[in-house]
Amino acid sequence: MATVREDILNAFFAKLLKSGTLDQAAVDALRKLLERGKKLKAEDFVAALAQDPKDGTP
Amino acid sequence: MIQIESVRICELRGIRTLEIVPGRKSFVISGPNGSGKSGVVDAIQYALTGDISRLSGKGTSGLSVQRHGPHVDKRDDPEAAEVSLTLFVPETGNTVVLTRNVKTGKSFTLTPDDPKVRAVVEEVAQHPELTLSRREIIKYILVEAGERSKQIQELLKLDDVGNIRAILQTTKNRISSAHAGAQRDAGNAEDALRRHLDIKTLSKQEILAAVNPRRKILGLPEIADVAADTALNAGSLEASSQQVFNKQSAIRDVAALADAAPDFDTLAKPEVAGILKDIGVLESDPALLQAITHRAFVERGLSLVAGARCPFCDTEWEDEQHLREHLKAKLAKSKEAEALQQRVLKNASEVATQARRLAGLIGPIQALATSGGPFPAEFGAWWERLGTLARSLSSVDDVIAHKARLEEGWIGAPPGLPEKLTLIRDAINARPDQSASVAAQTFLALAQDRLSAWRSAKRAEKQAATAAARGQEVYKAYCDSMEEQLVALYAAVEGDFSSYYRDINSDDEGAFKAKLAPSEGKLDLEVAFYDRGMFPPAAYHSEGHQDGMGVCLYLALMKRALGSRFRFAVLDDVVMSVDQGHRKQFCTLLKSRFPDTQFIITTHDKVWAKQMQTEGLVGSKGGIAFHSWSVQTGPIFEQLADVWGQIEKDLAKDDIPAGAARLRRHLEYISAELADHLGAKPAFRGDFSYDLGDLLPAVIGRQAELLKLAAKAAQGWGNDNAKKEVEALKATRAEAMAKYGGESWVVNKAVHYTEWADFSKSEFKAVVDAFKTLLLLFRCPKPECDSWLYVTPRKGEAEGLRCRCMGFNLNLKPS
Repeated sequence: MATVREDILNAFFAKLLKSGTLDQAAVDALRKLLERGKKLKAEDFVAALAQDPKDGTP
Repeated sequence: MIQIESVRICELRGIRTLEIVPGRKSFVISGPNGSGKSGVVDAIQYALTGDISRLSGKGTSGLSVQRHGPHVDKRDDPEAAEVSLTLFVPETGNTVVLTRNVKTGKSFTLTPDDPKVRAVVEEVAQHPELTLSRREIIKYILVEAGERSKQIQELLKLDDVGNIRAILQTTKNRISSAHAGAQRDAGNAEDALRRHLDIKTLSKQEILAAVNPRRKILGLPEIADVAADTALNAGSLEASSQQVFNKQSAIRDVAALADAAPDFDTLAKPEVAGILKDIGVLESDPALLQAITHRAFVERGLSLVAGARCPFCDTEWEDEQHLREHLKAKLAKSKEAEALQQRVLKNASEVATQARRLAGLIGPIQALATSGGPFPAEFGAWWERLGTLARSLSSVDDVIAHKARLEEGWIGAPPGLPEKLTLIRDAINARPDQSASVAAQTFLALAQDRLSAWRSAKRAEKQAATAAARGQEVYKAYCDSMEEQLVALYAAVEGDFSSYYRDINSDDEGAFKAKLAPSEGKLDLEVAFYDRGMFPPAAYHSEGHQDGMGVCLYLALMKRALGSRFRFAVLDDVVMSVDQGHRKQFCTLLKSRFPDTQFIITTHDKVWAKQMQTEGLVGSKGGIAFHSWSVQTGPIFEQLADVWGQIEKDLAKDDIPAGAARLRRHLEYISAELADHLGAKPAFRGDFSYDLGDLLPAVIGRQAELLKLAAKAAQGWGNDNAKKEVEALKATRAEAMAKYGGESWVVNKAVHYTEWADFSKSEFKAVVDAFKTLLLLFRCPKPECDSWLYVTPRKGEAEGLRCRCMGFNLNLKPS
């Protein structure tokens, strides 16, 4: 059985993919940040979300 | 998660030396109050977490593991205090030995060391709730809704879940703030373009109406549409804005700055006042500023404290509690600092916005000035300063560095600005009128330049808008997921909790149900009371039932917190909350609902401990019974393990005194057990202080009575097989008693066992053999069962003599 955190994150990623606002790459980037286990930093999430989906540059 | 193979404790709390071997199975530690049970719990908790909750938390001021963890006689020798756990790690399949010594309590050793196993052990340390004591049960039941919410969130590690939400909220706010900045930059670029084109709106019609007449002058074709890649000066000569001067546009640029100048005194004035006030607060309280920069550092330090020594600077404090309180005060200070920090940065953001807007107005003027106009250095420096200010207000330190500038007037306009702007305007006007073609060419060049800048700003704005929408979506999706999952979680906990409680109390509360209602920072709990409605747990239920609810809610929460990884828990005196009539159901609950979880259970009720064995919650050797405790020796106990093997080892080492003491302890223990199992009737003592001389003869006599009853019953029922079985038992008994009686000259000294210590090896061995043979009469002959025989029912007329596996089952009930 998954932990509460895992349950929430799984539902979160599923919701993001379904909404279509974020593409798979952006969701993967968020997943990587949330699963890396280090201290979370807002600037890392800002960078991930500011990533241009077309040219890949911030 | 982990399971415990064995525990070895040296000089910790009330224990001198002790080894127990749960063998990855549930294990019960029984004994009267003060016999040392909690010392085992403390040792396990210490080995796993580096902490002993009994020495920390509320009401423990002045206590520390470093100073009060070692046995009192070793208080000046913390190195002597050590716990080793042999652990099995189901995730990796490894078996390792974890050792933690009080002298170096912050760290532990693993043998063999393995990063994956280490990670599992470190994770276990993050779950202090794996040890549940009786005083902690009520924290889930008899507390305010706010405190319950806090305790349950802590157990479920929802602080981490909340932390992610906070980070995503900060992310959303930062991206949103960046979007607002990009919008302002695009607005400034639009203003500059409209000003140059001298139009009111950036509609295609107005742009073309401004551009096409100039193109016509230059003999260039008209532009029919303004698309994303349209060049307004297409076909004209190339020229950069630095080199281009357009008289009419320049006059409008100067006018725009002149129009803005009267508002300089009030521009961002409240924000600057707010910043200066907060800087004053920081200067009068340097610790506040330090708290901002040291917050993360202090948080880390607090998590590393293990003893009275500071984990960073090695300063020795009076005790661990003082050090912790010092660090907690620092953290509290940093919360105040955090609010101030947010206020300063918000005000600074408005100042930066206005600085960027002003720099946008000054930019064209300083470009004019550097291309031959008056005051070049002054306007260029002003433009640079505002640009720098706009870029350097992103941290509290940066803002403080600009304090003098904010006090003196952050805009820093050149003295006599209106006059100087008039001079510039006059200088522009004094220039000869441009020929129509030059004016048209420079107009188009500047228009294209500002259009490019606007397009670039719009692209940045669009990208920022996309990011802002993503930030919003991410935050919303997380909050929605969190709410949905938490609602589902609490519903599941509610269901499990109700179901567990019903399992235990099915006889009188078979329709029990509970309702957990989360709201902002609170978690209300109501429970059903005999179909009379839903009420707070303390309203009508007895204290015992409330305790039972606490255990059930704990189990329901642990199931949700760890899922299939809930493989281990320590229940310290928790089971006393289960009344006698519901113990069987409680054992069944643990066995059936948590078949893969190893429970280490302590209880001061010896009968309850035995019932756990009878019900199969723990194995026949899955326990240790403490009789008493002394400061010199620690717990005095009888381990439910292979005592005969241990005595053999004593004999092999010619250590007769050790073997004699072990045999005596075992006989004391087991004769009390058998008296209870068989319903033996020793001469009554008002102080219930029965010794071996009282109990053993009563047990032997009772067994003879029971065999007589069995023979009579077999005769009465005409059960030939039972008759043969009883006859065989009688024969075995006669043989054992002959041996017992034959050695009685030494055996009788059992009452004064110290005399055994002076026996020769062969004399003592004869004693051991006699008792060993004797005690075989009282247990199931099947090795896989090996349990002690007992009479059923416990009260009233004896009806059967059985073992746990029912392989031994004599009917005692007459026909």
